[in-house]
Amino acid sequence: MQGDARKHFLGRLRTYPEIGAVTMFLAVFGFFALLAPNFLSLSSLSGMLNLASVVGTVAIGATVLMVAGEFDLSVGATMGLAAMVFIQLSNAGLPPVVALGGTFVFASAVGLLNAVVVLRARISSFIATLGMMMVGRSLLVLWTGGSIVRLDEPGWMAALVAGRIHPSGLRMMALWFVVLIVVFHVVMTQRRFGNAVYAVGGKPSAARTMGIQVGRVKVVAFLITAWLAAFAGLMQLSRIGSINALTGEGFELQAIAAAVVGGALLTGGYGSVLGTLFGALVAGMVRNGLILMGFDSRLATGLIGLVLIVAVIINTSLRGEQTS
Amino acid sequence: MTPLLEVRNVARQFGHVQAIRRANLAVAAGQVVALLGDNGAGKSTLVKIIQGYHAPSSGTMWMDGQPIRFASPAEARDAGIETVPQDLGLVPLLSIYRNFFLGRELTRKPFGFLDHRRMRAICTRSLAHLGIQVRDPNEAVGNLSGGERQSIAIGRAEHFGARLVMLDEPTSALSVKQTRMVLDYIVEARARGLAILFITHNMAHAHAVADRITVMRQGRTVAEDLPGDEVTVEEMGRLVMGTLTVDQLAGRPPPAGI
Repeated sequence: MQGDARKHFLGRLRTYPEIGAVTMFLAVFGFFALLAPNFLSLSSLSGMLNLASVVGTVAIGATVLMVAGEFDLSVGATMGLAAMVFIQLSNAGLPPVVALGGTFVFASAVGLLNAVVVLRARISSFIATLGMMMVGRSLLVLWTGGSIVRLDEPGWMAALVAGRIHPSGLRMMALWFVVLIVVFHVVMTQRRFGNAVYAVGGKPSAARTMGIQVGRVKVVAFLITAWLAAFAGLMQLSRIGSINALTGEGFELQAIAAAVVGGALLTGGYGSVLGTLFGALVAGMVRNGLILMGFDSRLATGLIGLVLIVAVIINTSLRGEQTS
Repeated sequence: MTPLLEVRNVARQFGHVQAIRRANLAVAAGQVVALLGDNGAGKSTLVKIIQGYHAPSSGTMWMDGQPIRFASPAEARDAGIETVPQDLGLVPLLSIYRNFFLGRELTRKPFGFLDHRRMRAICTRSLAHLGIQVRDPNEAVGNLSGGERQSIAIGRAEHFGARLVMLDEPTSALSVKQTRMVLDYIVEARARGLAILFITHNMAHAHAVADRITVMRQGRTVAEDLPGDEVTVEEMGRLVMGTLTVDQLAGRPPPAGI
């Protein structure tokens, strides 16, 4: 009987994928709160949120797509290219709204292209988008000529995307990130589409049997991923005012790491946007906290890697109990 | 009595491959019909035709005496034909109630948000009504036994208005105990008036619950509507393999003592 109760409890935990991410969040937060000077100051927390926002925005898309059972490794390149599209349209004198529209048209094309290559040619999205990543990155290198490309007039669009909203240094991007987390959390848990995404990634044949349009759901997931990557590119651009050939590089894997810390399974059908929020925050805290403690900031990636592994071990051991 | 579903002289070819040459089948409400046949006998293709996945190349199907032709699985489903496929149409990582309402989720006005509370309540109530006790509708389906999953898939079909449920090899991957559970459940569903087409190549399971037995072999119905209790498991096996014909079966001497 006690075994039954335990099995039952774990069975319910399985429907909460955020457990590992929340545990890691509390542990890492506690660690830096105790050991890193000024970690709890407003400016430090703001910096952390700003940092988490760009990766986190990309990671929301990565989460939705991973739940749908696919990957997108081209998001980093899409970030850079989308920002470049915005710069070119903007510097050509077009109004910011038109430049923004053009950027999202571009992102839609990228998302559709990814989806078509994966779904029509039936090749693994890991491979297909790896190829797209290399193509995209090399286009960006050629397009930027390898040098820094500036946005001539940042204007109100940049202020809207990444302007300072608080003396502590908190920026609009943090606000957007929170809004996007809420929106996509609701989409994934409270909408029929979200339910379909979980089913499509969890067991495509069953989803198809139950009348879900598997291909259509995946196409939308690819589109969402590309749109969010483009928006993250705009965040980066708006904050710095320029891009270069390396803008967005490495974000594809950081985004997947945040999604996985947040509970997403590489095999699809399982994951959580809220979990991804915690995953992105953990990464932001590690980067910020290490600097505050006086360590070389290049240590951060390594430490995030360890956090990733520990979080996945927690997630797996919780789930492993009931795979019978 | 008019059968709920009747299939006459249905054939289907894919290119040059003749998947079904001549299939006949009838199922009535409150009846379990076992569709027997070896791998490649055409059982699955016939099921897909009834389900609306494929159109028959020739032949006719009737439902309640009316000729039918389904353009899609959705049309067949609307007509009350549900299939429980081998993967059960269940997603292991999703909870019981999400699976129950998969593709048919209940939403609330005016924004169309999912009505989780109502779905949980209806799922629990409906399954309990059908004799399936679930501990917790939030539990992941992957956590359940094979027999429990099978019952939930059948219960779901029934809840959504199925009049004919086609079970594709429901017992093939189950333990003896789980098989017993599913067979009991089939008997209960029959008592509620459901028509059940039980596709299997396990003669003993067919023998245990089937009212009628139909056998397919090499794309043809070689025996139709045999009374389940008058054919032995061994005879079923021989019909499937083709070492016994219906004529031979009919011409056998009556059992001694009658």
